[in-house]
Amino acid sequence: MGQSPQNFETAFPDLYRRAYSAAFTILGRRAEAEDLAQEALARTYLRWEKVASYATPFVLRVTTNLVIDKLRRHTMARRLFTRPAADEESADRIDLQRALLRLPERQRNVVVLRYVCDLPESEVAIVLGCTIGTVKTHASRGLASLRRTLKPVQFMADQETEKRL
Amino acid sequence: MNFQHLTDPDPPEPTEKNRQAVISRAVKLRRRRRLEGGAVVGCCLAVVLGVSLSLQSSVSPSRLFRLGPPYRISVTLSAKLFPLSVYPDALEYPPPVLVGAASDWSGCPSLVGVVASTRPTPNLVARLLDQLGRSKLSAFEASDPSYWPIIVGNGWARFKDLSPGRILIMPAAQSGYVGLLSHCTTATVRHTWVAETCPGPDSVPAPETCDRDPALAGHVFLIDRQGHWLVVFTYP
Repeated sequence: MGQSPQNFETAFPDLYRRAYSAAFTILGRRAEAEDLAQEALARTYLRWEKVASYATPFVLRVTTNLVIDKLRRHTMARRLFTRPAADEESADRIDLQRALLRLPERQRNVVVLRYVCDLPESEVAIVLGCTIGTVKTHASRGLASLRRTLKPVQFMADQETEKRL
Repeated sequence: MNFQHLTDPDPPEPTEKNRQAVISRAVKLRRRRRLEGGAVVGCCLAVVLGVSLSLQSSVSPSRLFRLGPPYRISVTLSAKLFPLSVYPDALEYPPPVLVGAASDWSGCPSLVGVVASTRPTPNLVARLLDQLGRSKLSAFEASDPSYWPIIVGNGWARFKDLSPGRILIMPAAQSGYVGLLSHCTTATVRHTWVAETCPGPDSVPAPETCDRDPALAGHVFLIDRQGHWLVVFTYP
């Protein structure tokens, strides 16, 4: 797991930064990201004895679950009150949120932990309770699906190019 | 795939205030889970308990305890294990008020047979709390019927590996949490002792964190009835 158990107080700053960063990357709202980071750390604190040895992946998994729950809850509201994205970054984020919600749960977990939270495959495997091979499979399929959703035009252009070649 | 451009360029640094907020949230979360788990599981367990103890009572005389809201159930317990002299019905049901910030329901203990005892020793309290945390039946034995709704609701305190050296015992009147008995009589307060434990029930952190986070300390309210020490309430 690459991480020796330490106490919660020592681990807190790093865990908080990682949880905040993961939440902000997907949500893009500072207050909500801070709130979810706190919630994730509170849940981790309650199970510290069990999860201390793999605290970082655990916190990130809890955080991403909370973020996805939040996105789901707001999906309907967003449909009703959709406004055009103010800038390219916001547009990218909205695309990412939609793409993530379309992925099957297992693929979504792997993609978020691997590419948004930047966890190594071995830690993703531990926290999801599967083998590294399974993580690789889900990551590859999830990523392919994400690419198709995020850049449909570019993806089609690439296919045309491949056919010509 | 790269999401670097979506990260916060100026993320807030974790502060002591954040840490306190996290711990405080964790304490509330634990309390809420106990209560929610208790409400759902409590009824099922009570039915199972009622059935199993009714079977036991078919060979020995039994006593029927009626527990008030939010658990509208009855529990039949063996009269041999739970004699009236040690476990009289609680003073009043349903409990008159909500006790504590956690919305824990508890009644007031009956004062029948309660004696103004001398201060219990930390060893005695440690043994009693060990018994309280062992199983549901032993929790019933270690506590007064006024605490039973919380046990039935599966929300009772389980203390683990409590060292007698970390237990501070004082009369209830001297405890900062005497307000939790405010709906009971002054005689109840006079006869109750409070054991302050560190850490509290289910606490993960090391005991020294209690100095920094007093909310992590546990408070156990005890009475002596006919020589039997019984838990009447725990907080948190």
